[in-house]
Amino acid sequence: MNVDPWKRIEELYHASLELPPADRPRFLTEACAGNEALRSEVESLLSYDERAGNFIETPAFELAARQWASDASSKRTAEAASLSPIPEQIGIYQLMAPLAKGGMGEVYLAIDTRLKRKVAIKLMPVECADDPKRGRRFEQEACAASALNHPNILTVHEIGQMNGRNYIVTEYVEGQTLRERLIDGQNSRIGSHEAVRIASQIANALQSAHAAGIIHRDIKPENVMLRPDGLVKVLDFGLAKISPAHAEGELLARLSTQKGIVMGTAAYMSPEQARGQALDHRTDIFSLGVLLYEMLGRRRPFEGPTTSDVIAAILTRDPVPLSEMCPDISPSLQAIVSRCLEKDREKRFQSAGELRSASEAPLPVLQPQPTPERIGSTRGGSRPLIAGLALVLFVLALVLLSSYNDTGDSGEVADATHRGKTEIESKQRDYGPGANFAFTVPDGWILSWSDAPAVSPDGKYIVFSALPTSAEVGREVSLWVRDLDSSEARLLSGTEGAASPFWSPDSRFVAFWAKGMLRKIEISGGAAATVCSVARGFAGTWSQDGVILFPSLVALGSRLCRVAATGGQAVMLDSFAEGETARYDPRFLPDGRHFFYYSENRDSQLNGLYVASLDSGRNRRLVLRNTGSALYVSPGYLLYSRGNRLMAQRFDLQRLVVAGEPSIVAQGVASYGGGTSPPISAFSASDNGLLVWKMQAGDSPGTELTWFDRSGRRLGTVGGQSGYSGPVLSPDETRLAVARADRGAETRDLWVFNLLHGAGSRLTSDPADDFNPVWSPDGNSIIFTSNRASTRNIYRVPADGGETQKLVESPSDKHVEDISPDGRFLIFNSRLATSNTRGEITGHDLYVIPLDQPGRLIQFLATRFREDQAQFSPDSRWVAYCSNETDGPQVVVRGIAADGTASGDKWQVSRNGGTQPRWRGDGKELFYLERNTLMSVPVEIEGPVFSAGSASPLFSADIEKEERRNRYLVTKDGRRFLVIARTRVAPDSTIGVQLDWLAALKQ
Amino acid sequence: MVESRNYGRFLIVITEGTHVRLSGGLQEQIMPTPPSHEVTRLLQAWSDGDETALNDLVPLVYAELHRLARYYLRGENRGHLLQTTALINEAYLKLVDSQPSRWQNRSHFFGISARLMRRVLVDLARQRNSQKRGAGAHPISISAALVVVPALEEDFIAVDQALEALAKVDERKGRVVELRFFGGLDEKETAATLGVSPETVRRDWRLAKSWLLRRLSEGSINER
Repeated sequence: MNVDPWKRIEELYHASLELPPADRPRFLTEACAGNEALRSEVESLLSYDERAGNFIETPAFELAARQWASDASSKRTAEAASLSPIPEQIGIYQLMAPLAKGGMGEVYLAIDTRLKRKVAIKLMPVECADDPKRGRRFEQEACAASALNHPNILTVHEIGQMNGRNYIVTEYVEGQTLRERLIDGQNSRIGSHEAVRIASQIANALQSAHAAGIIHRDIKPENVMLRPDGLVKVLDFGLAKISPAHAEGELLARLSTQKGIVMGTAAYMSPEQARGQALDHRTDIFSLGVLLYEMLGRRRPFEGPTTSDVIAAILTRDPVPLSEMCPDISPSLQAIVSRCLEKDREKRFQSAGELRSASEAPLPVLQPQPTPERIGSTRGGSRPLIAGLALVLFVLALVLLSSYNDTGDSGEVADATHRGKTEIESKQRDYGPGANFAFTVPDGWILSWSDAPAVSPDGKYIVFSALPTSAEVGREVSLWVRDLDSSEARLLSGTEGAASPFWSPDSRFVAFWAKGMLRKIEISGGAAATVCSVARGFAGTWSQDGVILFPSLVALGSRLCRVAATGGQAVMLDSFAEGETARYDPRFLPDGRHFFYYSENRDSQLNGLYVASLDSGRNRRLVLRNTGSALYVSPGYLLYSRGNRLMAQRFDLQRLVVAGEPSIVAQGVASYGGGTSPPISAFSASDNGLLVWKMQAGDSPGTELTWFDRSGRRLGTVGGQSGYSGPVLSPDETRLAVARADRGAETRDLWVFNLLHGAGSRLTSDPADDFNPVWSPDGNSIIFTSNRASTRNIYRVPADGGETQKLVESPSDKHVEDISPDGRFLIFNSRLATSNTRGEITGHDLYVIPLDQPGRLIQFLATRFREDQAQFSPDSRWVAYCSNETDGPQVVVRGIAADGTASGDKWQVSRNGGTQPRWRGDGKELFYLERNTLMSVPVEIEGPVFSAGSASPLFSADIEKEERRNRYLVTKDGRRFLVIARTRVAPDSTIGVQLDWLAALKQ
Repeated sequence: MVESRNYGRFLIVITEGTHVRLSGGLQEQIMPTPPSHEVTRLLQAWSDGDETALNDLVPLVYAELHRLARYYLRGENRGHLLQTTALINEAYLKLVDSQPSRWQNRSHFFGISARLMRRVLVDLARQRNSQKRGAGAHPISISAALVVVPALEEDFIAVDQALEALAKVDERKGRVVELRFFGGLDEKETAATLGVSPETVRRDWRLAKSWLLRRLSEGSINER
C-alpha cells in the first residue's frame, strides 16, 4: 500500500519538530532515504515554521477591526494629538481604558484595587487646576454634588487632585448615553412611552438635586446614561458650574468664538443661560424640555447652522409644534413640553405651591387626559422647588402606560405567568417525554435547522424540510412528506430549496419558501405554484378565508405581511407597535381574523406571545411572556413552548386570554436560539389531537461502546453516549475499563462498567487527561496514562477505587500499551531516546518495564520507524504491534526474550495496511483493523517459529477515529467485539409523534 | 453570488455613524442589538443553502466589527490592556445573542459562523481595496508610509485563496485554519467543533501555519 505523500510529509515534519534543530538534517536524510523531493519539502516547511511566530494567531475579525480603527483614526489625527498623556494609576485606581473625551475632561474606566470594582474616573481639564480659587470651588461644588444620593443620580465615590489635575471617581454605569440612543433612534425611534419614562427619571434626579440646592446647568443627552435595565442615571451634577467653559458671564463670548465645538451644549441652554444671567433650578427644567422635545420630535427645538444662530433661536423663536413631527402625540404631553420650553422662566413649571396644588388636585392620574392647564392652574408660592415636575411627568407616564396597555390585561398575564411557572415546576415529574412513536428522516438527510415538522390539519401527513448531508449535485434542501399510514417518507418533487413549510386549512396544499418566493404545492401531486415573491419570509399561517400571513424580513426586523393564497401582491400588515422590533410565527385563530405572533421589543420585558387581528395589527394584546412559538388547538387550548417543553393551557377565544393552569404535554422538543428571546421551538399540531415535534438531539455526534458479533451484527451497547477511548476487559471479562470524556469535558477520566448489570462508575476524576487503561493480570488494579504531571506518565489505581500511585515518571510522554498476561512486563510507547544503539534517529519506540522493578527500563524495539500499539500474546512470549517500516502501518509480530528485548525474526501479519492488533484468548487468531474493517488471521506458533495464514475480513463498522489507537476490544473467545462506534442517530433527524395529546393530558 | 453593492449600502450607514460621532465630538454610537430570532433564522437559512441570507447577516457582522473597532479607537496607545480574545468571544455571543451552549448543535453553529466571518471579511477586504483604489488621491504621510507595512495575514483575500489551496491538500487543516483564524475559536473549541483532540488541532495548526506562510510569502510564483 502506498502512503499518501502528504501524510508522509506531515509525519516527518512533526517528528523533526520534536528533535533539536541540529539533529533534524541527519534525521531527514535518513528518514527520506534518498527521496530528495520529500526531504526538501519538509525542510522548506520547517524553515517557515521558524518564521511563523504570530502569523495568523490574531483572529481575522480582530485584524479587520483594527483596520477599521486605523482607517477611522487617520481621519482624526488632529483630535488624537490633543489627548494629553494620562497616568496609569491614580491612588488606588488602576486606569484601564478611556471611555470618552468631552469638553469637560476625559473619562476612564478604572479598577478600584481596594474594593475590586469598576469605577469611572473623570479627569478635569488641566486649566481647572491652574487657578487656586477655582480649585477650591471645584472641591466645594464636587463635594456638594457628591452628597447627592438618588438612584437616578450617578454616585460620586471620591474627588481628589493629582499632578495638578482634579479628578472625580464615580460609579461605573454600563449602558448607552441618551445621545447614543437618539442616534440609534434613526433606526428605531424613541416612542412617547420610552421618552416619558426617561424624562420622568431625569426629573426625579433633578427634583432630588434641586431640593439639595444643586443645579445641574448642563442637562444634555451626553449627560444621561441609560442602563440596559431601563434605569436612567444623570451624570455630572454641579460640574458645569466649575468648568471653565461654563463659567457664567464668559459663556456667550466663548461660545460665539468656538464655532461648533460646544454646539451640543448650546442647543440645550436656557435663554437665561444664553444671556449669561444668574441661573436657578429652572434652567434645568428648560433643558429637560429640550431633551423631551428632541426625543419625541427627533430634532432639536432650536436649531441653526452656527452656535450664534442656535442661541438666537433659543432667545427669540418658538419651536415648531411637536404635533407636526409626530401627529400621534397626546395634547397633554405636548403641552408639558411647551411649558418646559417657556422662554420666561416664570411661566415654566416652578413653584412648590403650584406643584403642591397639582398633586392635590383630584388625582389626575385617574383622569384619562389630565391637562397641564389644570395641573398648573393655580399660581402658588415661589420657593425654588419643582418636586412636582417629576410628579407631573410621573403621572403622565402612568397615564401613557395605562393607555398603552389598555388592550391587554398585563397584570393578569404577569400573574398567570408566575403561577404557571410554579405549576410547571411542580408537575415536571409527572409527565414523561410523551412520544407515542418517533421516526428518523431518510438516510443521507437531516432535518433543516430551525424549521418545525408540519402536521396537516387533518392529521394525515407530516411535512418536513430536510438537508442532504452530502453536497452532491442536484441535492438541496427539500420537502419530504410522510403519510402517517405508511412507514416511509417521500421527497416532494418541485420543492428544491424549500424551507419553512405550513399547511392550507383543508390539508390539500403545503406552502413553503424557496428561492425568494412563497410557493404552494398540492400534496397529492402537481407542480408548485408561486403565491408571491418576497425577499425573505419564514413559516406562516393560512386561514379558512384564503389569507396567508407570514413574517418577512424588512431591513432589520421581521414584519408580518399578508397575501391571498390564490396569489398576488404581498402587503405589509401594519407597522410595529411602540418599541417593537420584530414579529414572527403568526398563527391564525379559528375565526381567521385573529392571530397569535411572537413579538420582539426593544424592552425585552415586553417580548412574548401576542394576539392581534387582521383588522388592526397594531392593537395587540400580550398573551404570554417567555414563549417563542404557540398555536391554538381546538377545543380551546393554547400549545406553547417553554424551553424544551411543550405546554398546554386553556385559552378563552372570547376574551383572548389564557385560563387555568398549564400542563406539560411533551418534553425534549428541539429549540433554537435563546439569549434575550425565548428559543424558537419546533412543533406543530393537527386539529384532531396529533402533536408532532423535532426531537432534541445531542450537541455533536457522540460515540457508543457497541457490541458486535463476528458477522457484524449489532448486539447492544454499554454505558450510553459519550466520548470513549481505549476499552479493555478485566481478565475475568466481567468488567470493562474505558477512558471517557462526557459532553463539555475537555479531558478524559477512567470509568469502570460492570458488564453483568451494565452499571458504570467513574474511577478517576483528576482534571488531567486519564486514558489508556490496562488491567493488572489479577484484575485488582488498572494501570493507565495521565498527564497530571504535565507530561504523560504511567499511574496505577485500584480497580474498585482508591488512591492513584505513580508508576513511572519521566520528562518524555509515555503511552501505556499492554501488560503481559504472566504479569511480568508492562509495555508502552514513547520517544524516550532520539537515537538507538546504531546511532539512528528513532520514531516512537516500544519500551518494557518489569512490573516487579518499575525503575528499570528496557528498550524492546527502537528503530528509525514508528512502533506502537503493542499487545502481548496470551502466552506472553510474543508481541504484536504496528510498524510503519514498510509503506504505511502494518501489523508485525515479534518474540519477546526473557530480558524484555525483542528476539528472533519479525513476521508481518497484515498485507494491505493494518493497525490495532488483538489476540484471541487461545493465541490462535489475530485480529486487526484495515481502516474500519475488522480482519482475522489464523496464526500458528511452534516453538520459536510463528506463522500466520492469510487475512480475511470479518465485518466493517462505523468506528470512530479508526486510525487512532485502542478503538475496539475482542473477548477471549474471539466471538464478540466491543467497538467505539459513532452514534447511529445523527443530530436533528428524529421526529416525535404523539397521537392524542389531549387524552394524555387528561390522564 | 452576493452583489457587492449590498455591502456598500451598509458600509455607508456605518461610515455615516462614524462621521456623526467624530464631528460631534460625542460619545460613541452603539449599534442596535440585532433581534436574536433573526440571527438564528438567517444563519439557518444560509446554512441551508440560501445565499441571499448573507446579505442580511452582513450588517450584523459589520455592527460587531464596528463595535470592536471602537475599542481600538478609544484604546489608542492602550490597546494592550484589552483582552482581545475576550472581546472576540463577546462579539460572537452578541452576534447570536445567545450562549453557544444553548445551541442544539454547537459545532454546526461554530462552523457556520466561521464560514460567515470568512465570507464577510474577504468581501469587506475587496470592498476596502476598491475604495482605496478609487480614492487614490488620499495622501499618505511619510511617517505612516514608513510604519505601515501590512502583515501578510492582513490581506484577507490572499489568505482566503491560500486557504482554499490548503483545503485541497488537506481538508481538515483548512477547516482548522478557518475556524481559528476566521472563526476566532481557540484550540479547544476548534477541537470540539471538528471532533478531534486538541493535540491534533495543535499539530494541524502548526503545519498549516507554515504551509500558508510559505504560500503567501512565495505568492503563486512557485505554485506546484
